[in-house]
Amino acid sequence: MKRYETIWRQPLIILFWIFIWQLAAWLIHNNIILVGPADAGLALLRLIPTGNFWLSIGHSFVKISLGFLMAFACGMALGGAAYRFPLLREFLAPVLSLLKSIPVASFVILALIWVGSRNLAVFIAFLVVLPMIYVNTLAGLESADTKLLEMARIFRVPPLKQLRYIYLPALLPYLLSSCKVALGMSWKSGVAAEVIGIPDSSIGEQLYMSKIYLDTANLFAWTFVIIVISALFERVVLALLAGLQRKGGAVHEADRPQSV
Amino acid sequence: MKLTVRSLCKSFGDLQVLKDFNLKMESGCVCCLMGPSGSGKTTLLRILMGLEMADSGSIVWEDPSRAGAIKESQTFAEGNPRTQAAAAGIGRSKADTVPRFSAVFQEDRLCEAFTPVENVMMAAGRLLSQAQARAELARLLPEESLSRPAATLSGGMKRRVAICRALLAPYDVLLMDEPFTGLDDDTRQTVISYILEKSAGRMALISTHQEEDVALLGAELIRL
Repeated sequence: MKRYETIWRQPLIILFWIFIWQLAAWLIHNNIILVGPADAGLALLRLIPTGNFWLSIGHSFVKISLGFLMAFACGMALGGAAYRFPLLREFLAPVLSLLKSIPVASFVILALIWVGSRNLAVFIAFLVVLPMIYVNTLAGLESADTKLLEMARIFRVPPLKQLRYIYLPALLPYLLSSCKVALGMSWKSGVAAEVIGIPDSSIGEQLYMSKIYLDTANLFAWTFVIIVISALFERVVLALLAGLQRKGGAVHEADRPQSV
Repeated sequence: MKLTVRSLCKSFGDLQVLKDFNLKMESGCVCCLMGPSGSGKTTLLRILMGLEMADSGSIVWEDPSRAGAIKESQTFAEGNPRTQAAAAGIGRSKADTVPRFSAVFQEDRLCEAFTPVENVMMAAGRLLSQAQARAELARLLPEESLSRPAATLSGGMKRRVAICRALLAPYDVLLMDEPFTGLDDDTRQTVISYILEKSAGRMALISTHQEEDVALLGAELIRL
């Protein structure tokens, strides 16, 4: 009975809020200020069969995920190098502090001048994700158990084995939690950059058009699309990392002994 | 392999844990360190491994069996840069430095997310196949425990994995810090037989709290 209740609770809560949303739309009765879920759904259904819909999704997906993946690779490489060479860490500290504190809008304007609107989303997603991955890679490597490192030194464990047995298990939880935040941020900032830069056939351009034509239904439909793609991308990346964590031998809490 | 320790002293603040400690050992010799808690057993083992620096004294390792009769000495004195370099482990990771240590630490120091077989393979390198590691571990542990992450093992099982890892790794000198902690009498006897078999002909220094262990190991007793 309890399980039955748990299964239905979440969908019912979501249905409740959709109902409130529809109710608000009926009460306001103005499709420019607020459209209800039914109108937003209809707008989405109208968009799905069009070629431009899929082209825009494909364009933004490629650019934003490319920016994320490049930042992921660079962040890890830089984090690893900064862990190995403390001087490099000191050199990078002011640059990364700057990257974290500069508003995305300032970057977008600068990026429009430097790289143009075509690769804007790649650049912005890269700049937003890089500091997160770098900081967490460094923190993960620094959290490696010093007693295990001492043990590895005594047994003369080669560096690659140290990476697999000691550093990776310490690093992966940090990487997983930073990716959860970074994936969402890459989509938010990437699309925001597209809205400012308006590259051809992109989700940002579609959102901009919704603003120009005061087409709130389309705006809601595209927002829904962004949420779905961002969530799917997040699931895929996190599943890959979780797979690596399992392969690396991470232990589930349930596997731990009750008493030692 | 020969070890000569002369007038070794070590203090932590005002607390002196080692005072003029002397020791001579050679390959094939098993010694047991005994003393109350805080008497410096762990500190001595850590200094020998190069993980801790003594305040004064000297440690000389000699291996006349190797070509050129390799000798490595550490002389400890405050502010001596050569000593500090040696104690920080510089040069110790090179394959030709003497001696090659293996150890059971005060804590198990296992890679908890990995199985006992993987923990042994990590330290043993190419000397051992996975099947051999499994067969050796099965002499001390139940077969079903060998494929489980170390984190899921009991304290006594983890201890046996740590002992197995130390004995199956390549080494000249075996240093064990209270290896029998958490083992019942029967298991302890099995483990002691295994230690004697696997460390035969090499130097072993084992700290313990029980005189019975000294007798079972047929070891020379050193009191701290």
